[in-house]
Amino acid sequence: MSDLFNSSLRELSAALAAKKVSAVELASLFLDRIDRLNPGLNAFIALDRDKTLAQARAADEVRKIGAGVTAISPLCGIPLAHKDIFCTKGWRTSCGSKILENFVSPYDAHVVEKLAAAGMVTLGKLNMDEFAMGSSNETSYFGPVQNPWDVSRVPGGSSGGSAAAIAARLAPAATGTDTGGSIRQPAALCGLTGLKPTYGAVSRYGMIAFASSLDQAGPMAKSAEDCALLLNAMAGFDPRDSTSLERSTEDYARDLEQPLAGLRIGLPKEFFGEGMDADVRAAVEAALAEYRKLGATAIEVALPNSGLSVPAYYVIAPAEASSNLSRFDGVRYGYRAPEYDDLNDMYSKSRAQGFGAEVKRRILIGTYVLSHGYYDAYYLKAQKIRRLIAADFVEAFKHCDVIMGPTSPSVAFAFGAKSADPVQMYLSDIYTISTNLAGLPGMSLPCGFGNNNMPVGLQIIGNWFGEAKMLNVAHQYQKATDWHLRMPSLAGAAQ
Amino acid sequence: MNRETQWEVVIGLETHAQLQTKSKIFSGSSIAFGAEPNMQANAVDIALPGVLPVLNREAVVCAIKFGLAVGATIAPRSVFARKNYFYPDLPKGYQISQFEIPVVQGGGLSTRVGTGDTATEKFVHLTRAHLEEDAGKSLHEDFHGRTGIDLNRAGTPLLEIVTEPDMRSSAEAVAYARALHSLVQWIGICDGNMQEGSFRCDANVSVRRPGEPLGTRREIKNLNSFRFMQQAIDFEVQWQINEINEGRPIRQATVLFDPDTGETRAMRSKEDAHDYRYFPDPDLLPLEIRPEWIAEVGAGLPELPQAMQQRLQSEYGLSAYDAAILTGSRAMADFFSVAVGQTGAASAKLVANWVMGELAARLNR
Repeated sequence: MSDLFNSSLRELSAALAAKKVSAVELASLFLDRIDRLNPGLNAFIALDRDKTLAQARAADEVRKIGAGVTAISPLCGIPLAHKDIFCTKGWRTSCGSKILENFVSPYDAHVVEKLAAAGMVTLGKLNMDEFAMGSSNETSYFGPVQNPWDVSRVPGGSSGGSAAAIAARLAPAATGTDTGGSIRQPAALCGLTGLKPTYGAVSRYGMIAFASSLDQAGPMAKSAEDCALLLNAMAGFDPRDSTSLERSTEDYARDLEQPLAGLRIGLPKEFFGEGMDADVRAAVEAALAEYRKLGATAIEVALPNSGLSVPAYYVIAPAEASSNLSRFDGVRYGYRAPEYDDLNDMYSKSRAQGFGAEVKRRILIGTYVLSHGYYDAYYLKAQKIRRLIAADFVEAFKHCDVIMGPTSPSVAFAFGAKSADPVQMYLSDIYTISTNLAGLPGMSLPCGFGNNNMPVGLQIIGNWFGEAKMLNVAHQYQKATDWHLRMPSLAGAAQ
Repeated sequence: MNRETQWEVVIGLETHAQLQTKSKIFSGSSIAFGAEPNMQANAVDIALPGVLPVLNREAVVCAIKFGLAVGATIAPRSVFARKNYFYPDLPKGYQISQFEIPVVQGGGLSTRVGTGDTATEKFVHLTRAHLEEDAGKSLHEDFHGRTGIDLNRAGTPLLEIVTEPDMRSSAEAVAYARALHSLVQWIGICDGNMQEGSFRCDANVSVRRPGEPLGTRREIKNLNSFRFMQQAIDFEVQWQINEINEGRPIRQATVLFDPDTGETRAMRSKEDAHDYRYFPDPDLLPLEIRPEWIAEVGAGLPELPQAMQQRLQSEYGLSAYDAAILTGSRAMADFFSVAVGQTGAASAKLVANWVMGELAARLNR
């Protein structure tokens, strides 16, 4: 029991099946750890012990009554936590913003619904950058999240609460969302495994929209195997999301054990140039050496337009966001300014007081690039670049099975190090953004430690619908190494 | 001074026809009229965080029917766009509409202007017709100085039908509006109820001296009866002519018609017009309509009024005028068809006279 806080999902599933532990005991174990450790981390921003335990009791019932009667999901009774971007019935769903500080969702997001249907138990809601706009978790209205590896450093963002919670072993797994790197970058900075699926693989219904054409939900956990199990429960067609892809269900864990002999790894020269810190480079190159030992060969590929990904992204994402966030107007729900003169004043004050600085910055950028006379020069041009970036990947994948590189140019940085300079902050996602623009799946997995003993992430980019291959490639590496098993001392000391 | 000969009136109409689907254009809520406020508004309609639109295929079928009925091109690929503006009865802060690529392109409608033997044929070209969602309603009474919001109507499917500036008088505009009103009911896509707002017109009106380029237009919003349309356009034309004669140039503006005074007055000028920041809605895929779908919808269309007029003339020897009157509404045309089926073709003229005279008179009583 005492070491279950550090177990894999497969181990937890086996313990539950063998009745070595109940879902209620598991949930209590993690809730107690949250009580002890969360005040120093600020990863959870909504907790409800009664709700969590009720869900756990229901899962225990399912395991008891359903045994031998119906197929029980391997995830039944395992706790997880949701990024606060997912609408969760009866839970406050704030999206990290003051404007939704008191919004209790009357419905469940598709992802929440699917994981609950599998019997997973919700531990709480996780902190995040406001409306997922940020790479350090410093833009949350509820205050920054601390990195469990070094609490003076950021956990990454925007799914920083998810990453910190798993790293500190406050939850065995969590949901995240990734618009420009928001799953992969915090996974890298906190020493975790996180996966952004192909655009359309996971329904966006109930996930509060940041940039609709880029947003994608995915799993965050300690290992590729855990991510595969979670993705099995999260993915699938949803008629409520018109961009959800109508494909037959697949077992993302099916290829985990395939050997890697003959694997062709594409290394884009653009990902290995200037801008990457030396410690990150060393860890990534060591990981590539490990892959060669596993039988893979590395091939240089070119992504000539990837240098344009950050500027294209910072036109498209704010444009969509400026429109998506219009519904937060103080009329029907959410924050409304206490005093105002007339309708326009109510809009202005409610939004001025309800949104933080980074969200306002992006609304302004987005409004500008969509304005009459600027649309062609910015928005249309950015969409053209987007197609060029996707075409680069099509060409690259003619020569390789997966693409690898760093997830982030640096290890976790100190609070305040980049918050004064938005462009420096935006460059944190320089290696992750192009996959969102192309709609490709990508993941990050721990591959060593850099300066100040902070984790380094290796990024794997798969072909469209190449999740199973990507997970296979990550899992084989994790069988040969133990970086993903390392735990910050703060997490172990709590025992 | 005879103003009629000095000035040419130029009118284009934009009509919003509410489509007779069971549910809203992007959600499963009912669109039945008259429910208690906000009882027909679900999570999508009130724009809760995280909800997404899903296109109702029935609304597309209505657009295809209309396109076929007016001889338009049905776009094989059209795009939904967001029209961004803030208003309390617009829950998302944007309206989903079609902008650059509408579903129905071109086409036109033949109308008869005037009555009897003096009636003339007028063909009005359509620019486009596109699908969009309606907004909700702001209720300014009964809330003690505050505003109530009813979102039952939010998301109701509309087909916005836009003409070229082809009409040259209020009579032509009304004739076109009546023909369109009849056609949308004929093909079963709109109930035509103008009191409930199922069919409402905006008129773009300008005047010029013959041969000169188009004058600056003003748009009269929300005309919900043919009589008001006639009055509003006549007043507006006279107002514009007077302004120009007084040396004041016309400024582009949106105006409202007040039936009590019979006058139009400006709501807003072009200077404070919105920049709607249209862009393709990333929540919706482009609407693709394959030829097989068009063929399937076409097979279900009734005989259209124009074709029926031709047939009544050739089959029963009726005059063009009689044929036009008999096809003025689907109900009258159906009644005539059944009646003449009972009496035989030989008495068609007799039946026609009876339907147009006796029956119509009694129905009007």
